[in-house]
Order: sequence, then C-alpha cells, then structure tokens
Amino acid sequence: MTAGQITSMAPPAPPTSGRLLVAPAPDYLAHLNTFGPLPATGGPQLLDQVRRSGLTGRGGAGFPTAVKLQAVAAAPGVAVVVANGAEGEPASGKDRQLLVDTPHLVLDGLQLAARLTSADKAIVYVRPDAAQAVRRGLAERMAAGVDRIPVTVVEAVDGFVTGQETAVVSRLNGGPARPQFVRVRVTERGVDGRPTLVQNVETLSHLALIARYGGAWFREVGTSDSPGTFLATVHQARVGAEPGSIWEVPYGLPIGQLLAASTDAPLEHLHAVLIGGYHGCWLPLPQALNAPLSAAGLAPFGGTLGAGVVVPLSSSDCGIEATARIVRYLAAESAQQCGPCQFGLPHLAGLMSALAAAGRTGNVGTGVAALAALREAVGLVEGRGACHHPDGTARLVRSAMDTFESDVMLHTQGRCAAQTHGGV
Amino acid sequence: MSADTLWYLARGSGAVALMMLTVVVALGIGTRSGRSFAGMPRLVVASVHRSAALLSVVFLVVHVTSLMFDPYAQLKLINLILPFTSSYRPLWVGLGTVALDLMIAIVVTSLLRERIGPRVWKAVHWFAYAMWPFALAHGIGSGTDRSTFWMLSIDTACVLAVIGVLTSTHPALRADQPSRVPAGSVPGQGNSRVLAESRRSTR
Amino acid sequence: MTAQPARQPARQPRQNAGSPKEKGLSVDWTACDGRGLCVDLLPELLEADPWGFPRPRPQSAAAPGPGGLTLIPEGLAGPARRAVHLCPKLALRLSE
Repeated sequence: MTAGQITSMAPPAPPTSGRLLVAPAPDYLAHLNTFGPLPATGGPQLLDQVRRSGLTGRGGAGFPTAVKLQAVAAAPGVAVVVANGAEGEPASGKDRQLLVDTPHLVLDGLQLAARLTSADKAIVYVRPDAAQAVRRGLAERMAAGVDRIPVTVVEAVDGFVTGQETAVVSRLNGGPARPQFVRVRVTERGVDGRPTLVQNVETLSHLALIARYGGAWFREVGTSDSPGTFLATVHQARVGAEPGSIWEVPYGLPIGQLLAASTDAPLEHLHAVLIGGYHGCWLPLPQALNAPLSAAGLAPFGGTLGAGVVVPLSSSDCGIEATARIVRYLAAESAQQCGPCQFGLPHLAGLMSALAAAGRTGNVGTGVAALAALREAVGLVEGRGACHHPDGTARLVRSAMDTFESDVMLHTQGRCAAQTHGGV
Repeated sequence: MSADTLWYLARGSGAVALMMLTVVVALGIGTRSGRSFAGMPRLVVASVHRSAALLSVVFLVVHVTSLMFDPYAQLKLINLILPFTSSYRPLWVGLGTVALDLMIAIVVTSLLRERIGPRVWKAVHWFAYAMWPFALAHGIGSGTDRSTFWMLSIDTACVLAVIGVLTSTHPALRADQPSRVPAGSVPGQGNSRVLAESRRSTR
Repeated sequence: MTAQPARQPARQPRQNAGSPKEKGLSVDWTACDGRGLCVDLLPELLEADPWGFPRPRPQSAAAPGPGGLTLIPEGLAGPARRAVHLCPKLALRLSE
C-alpha cells in the first residue's frame, strides 16, 4: 500500500478500551489500520490541542508538555527534538514496551514535536534492546515517505541517571552521559548548542493520539487535574520477582483496583506499596488502598507517580530491608561527580543496611545508632548535587521512615515484624 | 641617580622578584591537586600565593623601569615584548622577556579567572613551570655579580626550594590514605535491570 | 520524619533570590572538590560536611534545588566575592 492510498481512507475511530498499546502488531500497516495516518494539522492549531489536553511529561517530572514545546519553539535558533527512551529506572519497563510494540506512535509523536518546534533534526535515544524495533519502524516510514524530518537513532548508555535531561544532551553532544551543571536550560541551549526538546517516548505517544483525536478526547478519562492515561509498570510482591507488567491506567484509579487486577498476592497480605519507582514513596496499606493514582491523590501521602512504577510489598518482607536494597543500588548508580552524592549516598546506604540488619541479628546497639544518624544523613544529601538523584534517594528514605515507623522501632529493639510473618 | 644606583636597583629588585616568584611557585607546586601544604589552611596558602605573585609584579616593574633608564643596559620597550632583541646580552635578557611575558599572562588570567573559566585559566597557569626556570636563568646570565656570595646563595636557595617541594610532594610518596573515608559500607551491587513483560491491558 | 511534598520538576535556581540587596551563592557540585576555602571565608554562613563539602549553616536561608542557593547578606558580599574568586575549582557562583 502506498502513502497515497492510505490517506484516502477515513481515519478509524479513537480506541475505546486502552489507548496506547492497542495496535495488534508493531508494523506500520497495523499502525495505520488502528490509528489512521498522521493528520497534517498546522503548528498553532496542534499546540492549542496539546494545551487543551493538559498533557504532562511521562518521564517522571510531569512538566506541562505545551509549555515545554512553546519554550523550545520560542528560543532563538533551529530546534532539535529528542525522544527519550533511556528508561534508566530498572523497575520501569513501559518505555521499552512502547518502543517494541508500537514504535510508530512514538515516531509519529516525534514528527509532531518537530512540527511544533520547527525543528530540523530528530533523535531517538533508546537502549540497545529497543533500538532494533525503532530502526525497523524508521525503515518502514522511509519506504512510505512519511517523515518530514530525518531521524537518527542513538543508543543510550546504561545507568540510573543517564536518562536525565542534561545527561542525555551531554551524551548527544559527544560527552559523558552524566547530569551537567547548566546555567542555561536545554530548551534554550542543548544539542549542538541549539534549543532542544527532550521528551519521554510515552509523552510523544500521547501526543500522536491527541493530534488525531483532539485535546478534549484526551480529557475524557482521568481527572480534571490529571487528565488522560499513563503507563504503569506493576511488579509482583515476591522478593526477587519477575519483570513487571505494563498496564495502561487512567489517572484517578484507586491504587487498590490496580493492585487487585495485577497482583497475584491477596491485598490483605500487602503492607505497603512503592509508587514512583526508586525515587518514589512507600504508601502504607491498607490505608492507601483508596488513594487515587494521580498527583492530587498521592499528595496527602507525600508521594508522586513519577514514571509509573508500582511495587507492592508483602507483609512477610521487611520494608526496611527492601529500602536498604534500593538505596544501596542508588548509591552505586551515582555519577560520582558531586561530593555530597558520591559520599553521602553510600553513607546513607550503610546506615539503612545497618538498621535493616539489626532487625535480623538482634543487635540493638547498631539499630539505635543507625537510626540516630539517619536523620542527619538524609539532610546531608538533599539539594546538594547537579541533579535530583540525591534528593530522590532522600525522599525514598524519608517515606520509609514514615511508613515503616513501627518496623523501625522494632528494629531498634533487635526484632523484625516481617520475620515473625515467616519472611526472609 | 647615578648609573651604578640604577644598576643596583635593577639587580636588587630582580633578585627580590626571583625570591618572590620562588615562593609563589613553591606554594603552587606544593598545593597542586588539592594537597595541603605543611598543614597550613588552604585559604592561607592561596592568599600568600596570590599576594606574593602580585608583589613580584611590583618588583618586576621597578626592575624593568630602572633598566630602561640605565645607560649600560639600554633596555627598550620593545625588548619587553620581543625576546632576544636587546642590545645588551640578547640571549639572557631575552629569557627574562619570555619569563616576564608568561608571568603577565598568568597574572592577568588569574585576576580574570571567573570570567575565562577553569580550563583556559589552568592551561595558561601551566606556563609557570617554564616561567620560573627562565627567570632564574635570566638572573644568572644577565648579571655582572653572579659569582658573588649573595647571588650564589639566593640562586641556590631558590633552586633547592623548588626541587625540595617537587620531590617531597611527588605522587609516589603520597601516603595511601583516601582523602575521604565514606562511613558505612555499601555491600552488594545494584539489581539487574528489569525488563517489561509483554502484556497489554485495558482499564 | 515527615514525608517530602511532591517535588517540582528540575529547574534553574531562582535568579532573584531574596531582597534586592542580597546575593545568592550557588555551588557547581560537579566542580566542587571540598577544598574548603569558602567555608573558611564565610564561617557565619557555611560549614563543612563530614567530607569537606560546604553546606549552609542551619540559620542561613537556603533554597532547594540543584546547587542550592545560600543568601549572602549585604555585609558579607566582600568575603563572598573573595570566595568565588579564590575557589581552586571555580565552583562557586554569585548571582543577583
């Protein structure tokens, strides 16, 4: 089928159940049959739809997409658009899922972003395991002649902090994939010194749908503050669990409903859930079962959705040990370029590990000492670094101290509730 | 002012400038890469380094000015910029010109270091390793009193100071203590990457 | 310990920190090596953490975000400028 034949067909109606992951196959034909071709809507009209939709970034920061697009469009110089599929968070798999199963939505979104910012260069920054799917998709589009702006694929570097905006730009400029101290935002000066739009691949996918069905359609699900849907990576509650599964969730859905649909374990066996990934927060269960999955719904618990990672914790697992494990990982993932992070995070990891171990070994002294030092240790890393890696880690520890308060007390007495439940 | 006075003024200020520069260079070498010098606070060392450098500039101004008025040296303004062009001992005076020009570059870039950034500043600062030996050689070769006890002592002391600080702070001699010991160990590495399972879902 | 409220997305430190008379001191953490000259020059405002890196003293105001911002009262503008100039790694910035 040629491009000419396709555009003469009436575009399909918007999907009624699920939005992003509904194409039956990843190839271009299936994409066109499911969503129809990309409309030729002009920049200002399209931007208006994006603004109406209330679309925010799905990479974790949740920044309003229309504002970002406008900032890049307004900056002097010809822009560059980057689809960010680095997905440095190990517990998140949604970006990879999107790129492998429906790369054309992402690539459509990328072309739209280029149109909205008058960019002349587009880059897809993805991990090696998703790059092949993207390249295949690009070859199909090249054969059909549909992309106005040429697209390059750059393989992303492994690492937790490598997907951060300035780290991506640094890497694309030939430097290290590490967050940079920048006096000027990347929206003004980024790749090749040009205004750069770095947008998560899920955000671009939503953009591709908004262009077809409009901003009002986008708002048909979700809440008024958090319209639309998002992709969540939900894990099982078992320790050392298999990879998480991807769910498309409307904002505002109560956590309990998502967990009931996705988790094997009965809800009564869960005593906490980690929302927002490794820089997120622990929410206590069953208290938070009815909390809506949205910014407003999680705010009372001090949590944010981040990039949509959900990890439930069974009562037979120790929350402090789980947190200590994560903090040890985060400490090892420091870019090692800022002192407070480089030294403060391992220090924090050591204290959490000591507190966790005290519950197992019965060593009262270590537990008490660790707790006393923890408060100061958290304060030592917050706000002191070129990126939010130390802040995110601090947030996780604070929420653990809050949600697992009773466990913390038990640990300082050399006991652990999880052990009593017959856990590890 | 008699010719002799001017000459003594030139020689004297030159010798003092050399001693000042030796202090500057010794402190700079001794504190390179963040080393601490003889337990002195870094702020103190940095301030002395800076003050001594600026003082040596003052003495160099006296040195050069008196030479321009000295009938024997006949130093011209052009000799301050183009090396090896003086009428009196062109080679040795030329070394002084090079040292002076390098010094001016180092001092100016240091005064403006916030504006020019760390990379450019550091690149120019490296020339201090050329500037100091040139200044020393200039002093030894240009003077008529190089074999006097005073000049020999001063020259020897300067050389010993720089060699001494270079050898005593050699990296091979550094005690194997990490400058910072992070409290608390970090056992175990991070979790392996979690891959997404292929499962579509509806609300 | 209370949980942190939802964080703002990463932004530049605010430019007009505090009153017009006050300047803000921020640190390029990728350059800072904890040499401590700034702490010696501004002991009223800064102290060294266990690894030598500067942090604001509890009583001085600091804004959150990468680099942070310590407000410099009018009287300490001189020492603050000296600290910016003398920092061996040029890791300090003074903003209006």
